[in-house]
Amino acid sequence: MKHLFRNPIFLSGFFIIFFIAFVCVFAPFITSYNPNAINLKEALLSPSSRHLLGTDTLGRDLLARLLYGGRVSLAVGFVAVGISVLIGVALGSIAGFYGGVIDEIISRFIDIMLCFPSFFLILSLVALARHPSLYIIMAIIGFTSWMSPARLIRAEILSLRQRNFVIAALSCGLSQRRVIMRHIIPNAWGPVMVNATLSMAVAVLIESSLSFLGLGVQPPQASWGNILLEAKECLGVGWWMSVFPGLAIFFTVLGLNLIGEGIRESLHK
Amino acid sequence: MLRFIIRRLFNIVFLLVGISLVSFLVIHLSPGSPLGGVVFNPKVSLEVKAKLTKIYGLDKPLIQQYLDWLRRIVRFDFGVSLLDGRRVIDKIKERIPLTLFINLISLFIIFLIALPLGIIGALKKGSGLDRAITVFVFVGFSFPSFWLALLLMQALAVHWQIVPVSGLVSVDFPYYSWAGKVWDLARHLVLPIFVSTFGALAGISRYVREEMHTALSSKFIILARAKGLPQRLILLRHALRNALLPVITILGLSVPGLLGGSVIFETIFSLPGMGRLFYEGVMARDYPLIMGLLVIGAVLTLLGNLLADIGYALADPRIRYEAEEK
Repeated sequence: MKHLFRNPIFLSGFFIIFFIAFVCVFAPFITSYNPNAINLKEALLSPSSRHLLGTDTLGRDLLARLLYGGRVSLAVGFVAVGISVLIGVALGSIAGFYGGVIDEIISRFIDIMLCFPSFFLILSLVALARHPSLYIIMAIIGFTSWMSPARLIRAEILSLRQRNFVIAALSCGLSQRRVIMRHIIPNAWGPVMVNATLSMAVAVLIESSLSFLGLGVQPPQASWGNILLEAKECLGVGWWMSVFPGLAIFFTVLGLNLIGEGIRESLHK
Repeated sequence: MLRFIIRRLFNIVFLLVGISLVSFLVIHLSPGSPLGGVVFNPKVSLEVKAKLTKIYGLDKPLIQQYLDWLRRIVRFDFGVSLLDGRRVIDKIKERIPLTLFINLISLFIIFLIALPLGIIGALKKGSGLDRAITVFVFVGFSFPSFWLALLLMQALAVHWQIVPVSGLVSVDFPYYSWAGKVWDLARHLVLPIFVSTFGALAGISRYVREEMHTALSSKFIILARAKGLPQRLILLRHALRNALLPVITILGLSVPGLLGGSVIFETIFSLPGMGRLFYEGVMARDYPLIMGLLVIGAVLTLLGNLLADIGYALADPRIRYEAEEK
């Protein structure tokens, strides 16, 4: 941990994400506008002291929509990765620890799932869901991205279980479950954290792409992706509508990538 | 080599069965019927619904349905689209070339740029130039491709009007001369190709840098240096050849990402490719089309993996022998 907070890459990513999360969580204290309040008299105003980032086609304050939309994007990223890591760690550690037939079944299943272009799989599930709510989108992204943490933790465990401290723990008569939970998973945690932050960046990108295609978060609820979709429909009129939400996505993804890279670097030290 | 390929083929048959099973279950375990909106459409008479149910065999047990479906898809018969009644495979077939064309061109450009970037990064690791490339890589990684497309459209197509906003060809395309047609296509494709190139460039140049760095710090390079070989020879003959091996595999492995990406940029630029077809299928809940594209997408991915494996085995004897010993 000490290593981590001296790593400049990790720190810069950490501050970017901390800042974005902070302003999104405390949105009501930062802007007094309601993100969904329509005011047609003030439609498509460029950035000014009254509306810091301008307004959209319905006269809604863009800053307010960005801040509240950020909550959605961050929450989707966080929960989706939580689901994928949970499934991945469970299946990966079972496969790695027990080996044999169980490992064969799980590994082949991972191989099959990896054959599908993940965005195709996600879109198919979205099509099936009919009315994709926020929770369904979180679940869909989580259920289609558990394969890489599963592979990762399986490989970690295969190498860890040969190590002396695991053999010692087993020969002391500790139960297998306890050895996995207490001795193996904590030691395999580093690479999983790297993978999790990088996949959170991917999840934020997927959510915004889905919303941009009109298949993710549905208006009037704001998300960075669907603000960009509205921007596309009035292309050439309000540049601020396509610049600011994009910057928000960009910095969030950049921050998460930097955190991941920072953890990776400090693991190798 | 033959045994290696046979082993791979056996594995592929297994994966194909798995792919078909997962695709089938995804659609059939969903709430609602695989017939999609038709069931709830009051304009469709009960008679037609019964007929459709019979055609799709929805009155049979699930296992039977799967086997019937499997029997049909091995002949690439995915049924007909719910949208316009055309055969799904025909709809997909006419859309594949454009997607393939754009992706192949952007892959080519990616390698043209990523190789020098990666090599410079590895050679001058830690220098100012390497840092600049690394910054570029992180920016590239984090730049949402659809945002890039939107910004470029806004600047180049709407504001300066240098390139067309979207579509594959202009309205009066049929009347152009041969050269005019090529120029028109190129103008329409320059933004999509730029966007799809930019998205994958960062990752691959990073990858080349890592591989090149590993190759450069191995013992045979130290030996080559000690022998007094010229730097150019060491780089091209010894380091690059070894670093390129893993890069070959990336080519094959990038297929699923590219297919997913084409959904986004083909939709933004209204290009009639496979990605846009998938988007249309999803919007219309056209399940036979979605299922067909899901299977075709997975099969293309599998082909990419296979090409990567074979390329790797051809290039690296170690892999070949290892596979034969097993």
